[in-house]
Amino acid sequence: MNIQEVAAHTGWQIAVDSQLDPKVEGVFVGDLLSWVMGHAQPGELWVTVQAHANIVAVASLRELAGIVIAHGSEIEEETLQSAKDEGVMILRTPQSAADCVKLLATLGI
Amino acid sequence: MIEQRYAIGHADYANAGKVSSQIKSFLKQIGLDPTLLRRIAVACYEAEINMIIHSYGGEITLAMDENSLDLNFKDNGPGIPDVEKAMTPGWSTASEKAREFGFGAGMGLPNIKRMADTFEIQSTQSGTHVHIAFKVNE
Repeated sequence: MNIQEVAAHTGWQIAVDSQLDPKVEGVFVGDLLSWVMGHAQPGELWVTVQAHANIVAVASLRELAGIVIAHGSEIEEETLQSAKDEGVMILRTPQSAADCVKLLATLGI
Repeated sequence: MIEQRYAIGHADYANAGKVSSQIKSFLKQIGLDPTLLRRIAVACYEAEINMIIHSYGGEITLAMDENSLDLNFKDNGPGIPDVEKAMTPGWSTASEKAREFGFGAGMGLPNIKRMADTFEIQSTQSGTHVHIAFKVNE
C-alpha cells in the first residue's frame, strides 16, 4: 500500500502532499530522533509527536515513506516548508500513536 | 579525488541536517551504492547534530577517492570531558532545549560507530575531532 492509499483509508489529514507516493513497507514509532535514525528502516511510515523541522531531515535521510504526526501536534510552518522542499509527505491526526499503529495494522501494514 | 567543506554553526537547530542532506544528494548523484549511502547518511547526520547541539561550531570535510570515503568533523570546543561515557548508548549531556527538539537520545556516537568502517574520536577542550571512513569498492 502506498502512502496516498494510507491517507485515503485512515482519513488522516494530509498536511504536506507529495507526488512521490512511496510504498509503505512498515511502521516505526518514536520521538527520539537518533533512535529513529538508528533503527527505522527505509520505507517505513514514521509515527511521532515531534513536529519541528528536524523530523523532515530524519525522514528524508533515512528514506522513510512519510511521517504521521499523532496526538494532533501543531506543525510548525518551517516543518511544512521543509517537507515540501524535500518531497516528504506528512499526515496528521488527533489519534494517539498507539491508535495509529492499530489502524495501520488493520490495513495490513 | 573529491574534497568538500561545510561550515556548521553552534545551536543552529533550524539548519540541522541540511549539510548531511547536501552530502547525501551529492553522493547519490555520483551513483554511490544505496546501502552504503544510507550508512553514510545516518553517520553524517548524527555527527552534524552533535556539532550543532554540543559544540561552538566547526567544519565538516568530505574526501573521497576510488577506495574510500572519509568524513572529518572538527569543532572548536568545548570538548567531551569523558569520551568513554559519551560512547555509552543512552548517555547524553544534551540541554533541555535540545531534548525538546527530540535530540539527546544518547545514540549519536554509538550510531556513528555502528555505521562506519573506521571510527576515531579525539577530544580536548579546544575541540573534538571525529573521523569516520567507509570502504567504497567492496
